[in-house]
Amino acid sequence: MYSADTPVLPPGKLVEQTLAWLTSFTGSSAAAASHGLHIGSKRICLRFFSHCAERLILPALSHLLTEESGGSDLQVNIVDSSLTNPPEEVLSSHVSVNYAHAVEESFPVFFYQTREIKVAFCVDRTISEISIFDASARQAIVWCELRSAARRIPIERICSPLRILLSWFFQSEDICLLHAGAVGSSSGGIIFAGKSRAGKTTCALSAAQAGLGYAGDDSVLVSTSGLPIVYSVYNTARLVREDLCRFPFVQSGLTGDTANEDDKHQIFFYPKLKNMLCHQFPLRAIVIPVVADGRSQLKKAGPITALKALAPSTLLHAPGDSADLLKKMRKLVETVPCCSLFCGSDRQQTASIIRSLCLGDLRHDCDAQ
Amino acid sequence: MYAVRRWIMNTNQSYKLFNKKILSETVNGETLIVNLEVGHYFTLQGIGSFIWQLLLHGLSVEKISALIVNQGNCDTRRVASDIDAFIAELVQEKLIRPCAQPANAFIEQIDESVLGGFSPDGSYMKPAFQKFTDMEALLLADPIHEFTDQTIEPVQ
Repeated sequence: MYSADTPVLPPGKLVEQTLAWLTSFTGSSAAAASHGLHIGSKRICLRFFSHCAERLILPALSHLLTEESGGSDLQVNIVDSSLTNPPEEVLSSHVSVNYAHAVEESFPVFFYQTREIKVAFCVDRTISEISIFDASARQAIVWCELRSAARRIPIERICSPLRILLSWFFQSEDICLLHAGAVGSSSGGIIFAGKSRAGKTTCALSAAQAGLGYAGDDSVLVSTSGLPIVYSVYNTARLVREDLCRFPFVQSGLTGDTANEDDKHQIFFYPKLKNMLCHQFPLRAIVIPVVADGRSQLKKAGPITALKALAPSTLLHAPGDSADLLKKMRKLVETVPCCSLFCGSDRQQTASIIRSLCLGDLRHDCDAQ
Repeated sequence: MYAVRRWIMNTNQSYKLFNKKILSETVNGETLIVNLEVGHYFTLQGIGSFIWQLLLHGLSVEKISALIVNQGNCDTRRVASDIDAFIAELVQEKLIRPCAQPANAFIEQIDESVLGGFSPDGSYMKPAFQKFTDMEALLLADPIHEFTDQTIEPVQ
């Protein structure tokens, strides 16, 4: 089923062949739409070969669109199932993972890499995505399945599109794509670290409601060289139905595509809530939210406590050079103050503490407020 | 007659990380270990973190015992027994495995910051780790099967 006898193509060749294959379907190498984005201080060009994929992927990133012309640091060619089948035949000449078998076995993520090329097959039952990244050519190809009769598109694909690809690209740039939320202003901000349902979204939305800039609830970029800078990647938030009434301001960012009973609702801050967004800021603290009773309290946390909150879920979300990513996160927790925020029922008080933290004020470090 | 099975530690034995899916970082004398295969992670404090770092430096159990005994006022037999049990647990968790080759490490090569594994008051405490399994579900929902040009078989 898997063999090691497949040829290893030179860097660039896989992307080149896949693009040629793609052109054979579209009849042209011209994209249906191209968009330049400023993501984490880099310029990334997204080339959509169909407007279906554009409608799926672009909204979460649209606050980072730029009209500036010029070269790009990464070009991502995006094609979807409305246009072609997965590029199996091209990949099979290089990557000895049988895509059909991956689907059949329901292995959600296959990951393959050489020194220069990384390929991920993300299979979520009947909804699939293939990402191919060529570091030396600074080119990427993403094939995504748009919709299956059996299943909805997972909310992660809508709220955090291209996450694996961006994680790969930025790993070579001293910037980490972290599993964290973030709020702040141009003078400074914080990230919320913790596993899913730890309170990252609640903290981020409480702070946004109180006037702080929103940079994300689940994935943000943080530079690890020099003064750490947080960069917003996605203008989205995910909220369970019962929490919608706690944050009425998000109603205008709700998409018409309502969530299932058990799913979260997807909220887009761009364009209707764009004034609430903050694109980048210096990182003042790493905050671990903890759901608690009573008044909100802040307590200093050791770097290993912060690393424990930040690293496992970040690593498990991003196949690739995990050891390097862990080292970068270690550097981050050593550089930036870390604290646990015990979030009581008074969200305004919680937001007040977060505001102080964004200014670098850690004086809330006491057991009783 | 009962067969008695017990862990018999070869004190000249050295260990290394079980595989590439085991990652660890140590900050201020505390260590985080992540097992990317199963999604478990572990924290080590004090003496546990100290032993972990020495193991990764390739020191044998015997050398680690000697170092700990020399560092603090503690009973040699108790230290040896504790280390045996601790390493057995690390092996059982598939975090480390014995090295085929004897270690060629010298204590002099170790960063002095490593030698601080005792409790804050300097007393000896039995090594232990905390294990966290709350990420297991995430990995089960989204397992990563990794391939490289050297290893094409799925990582199990």
